[in-house]
Amino acid sequence: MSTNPVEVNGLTSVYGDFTAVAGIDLQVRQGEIFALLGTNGAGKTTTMETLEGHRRPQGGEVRVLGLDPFRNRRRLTGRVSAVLQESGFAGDLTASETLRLWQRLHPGRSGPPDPLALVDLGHRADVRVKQLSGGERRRLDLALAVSTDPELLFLDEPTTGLDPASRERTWRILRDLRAEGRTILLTTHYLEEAEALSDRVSIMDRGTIAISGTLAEVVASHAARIRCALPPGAGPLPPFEGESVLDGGLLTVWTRRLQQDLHRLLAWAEREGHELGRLSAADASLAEVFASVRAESAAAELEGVR
Amino acid sequence: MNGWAAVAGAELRLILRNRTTALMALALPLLFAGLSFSQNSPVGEGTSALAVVQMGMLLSFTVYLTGTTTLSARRQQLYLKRLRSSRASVLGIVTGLMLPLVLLALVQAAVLFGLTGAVAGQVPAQPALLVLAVLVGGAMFAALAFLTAAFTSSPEAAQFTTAPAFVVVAAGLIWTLTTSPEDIGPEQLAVPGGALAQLARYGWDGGGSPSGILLAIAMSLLVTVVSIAVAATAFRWEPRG
Repeated sequence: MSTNPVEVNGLTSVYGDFTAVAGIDLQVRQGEIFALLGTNGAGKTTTMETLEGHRRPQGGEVRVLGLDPFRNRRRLTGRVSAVLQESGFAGDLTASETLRLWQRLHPGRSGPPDPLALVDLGHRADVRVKQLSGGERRRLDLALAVSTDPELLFLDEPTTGLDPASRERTWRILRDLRAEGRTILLTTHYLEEAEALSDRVSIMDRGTIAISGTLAEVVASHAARIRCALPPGAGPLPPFEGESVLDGGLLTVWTRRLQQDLHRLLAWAEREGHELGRLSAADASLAEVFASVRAESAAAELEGVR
Repeated sequence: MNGWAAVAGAELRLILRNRTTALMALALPLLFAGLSFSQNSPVGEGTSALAVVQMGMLLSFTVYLTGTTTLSARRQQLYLKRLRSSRASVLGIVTGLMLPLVLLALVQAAVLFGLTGAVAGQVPAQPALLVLAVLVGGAMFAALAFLTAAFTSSPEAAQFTTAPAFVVVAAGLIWTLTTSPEDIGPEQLAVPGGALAQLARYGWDGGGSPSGILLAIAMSLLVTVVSIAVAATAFRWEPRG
């Protein structure tokens, strides 16, 4: 028997005749931060809603802490906390009253002694929710989620709309939660968020998982890039393992063998006595991986239209 | 019934803090009921008929209209979705949201019956039965609010969606009040409002056999249970779209 907090095998979710999720597999391991990336309409939110027990899957098997989340939603509440995109707070309750209501609705589950302080909202405890800023509300949401001492947290775009300082603060809190051994599954539009936080990522595209793995694995699956400006009148280039493109004196090499091709380029320049301008070499960024997934997807869609 | 006390505590705060709901819940029913002093009671005779009409108005506005509006508003704010994602049960959530309104109606009824009694120089013969009538009626109107909110898309729409039940309840009240107590049969009691009128009338004037009283209570509870059962399956916890 698997002990992964989240086990998804062949999940399929259909709205009418639209297939939002088309048979995905997903495993989130104990104590990790897992980021589910994807464009709008990729199926992230549907997947999250299914994991939260709000949707019954049309196909496949879903286990959250070993249980079917749809049948055991109330049993899982508290052990599993979800932060949705919309908080659903009552505007005329204060932050501390909102927290207290939530704690009373989860008897027997006590988390940290002062969840508001944990999210730097201690000084705003007696302010009505409608007077809190958007960022403060998201943090209050996080405080509620933490207050039930969850083993697993689902966060749907936890930092969307936050200013950079608030985002940093949220990241710090999430890292602290991971350090306590809690498991976190989050969705995000922000690639830097996935890069900053997550141990593993999946990129969803049109209802399927395009790429999955650790950040290093995902990035390694894509070609690294060498770029430099060649001096005018440079002779023929050395043969590269990867693909090279010369565009008006600007050379780009896409390669899976970065070290070899970089060496060839440098050796060639040395031999020919060329000075290479604006030289850079880097692994693919998550942004590039993401962009290529989207490009492939757009191409496939175009194909479909024809 | 998980969570009802926590939800009720929060809801009471919300009612008292929001000026519009507070005004609607407190002033409007008293105003309407007070109007009933200014003219002769439209139906029946004597003080008990007046008290029955007052109770019907209080329950209709304080519990039913405000309750339907509250449920729709809380749904629109996604507050219901939030509560649904907690350990609270459906019955716990609805009870918690409606209970403060029922208690409010009870307080209003006490004030109004006191005034009515003072003006008429009468005291209710069976005050406990009157209290019971308000509580049973409160539960029934709360259940009807739950049912109506299932078919109400926005708080504003509650003004229209509550109209049919208002008419039915008014008809039930009038039918019972225009029939003498001993001639009341299951057909009057079956109309929502009819049984409540009968209970309140016994409460004010005295009389009523235990079986007659039990039948009136049972009929009201039947409406309550059926409303909750239908509403629980038809109710949407999130706004459309």
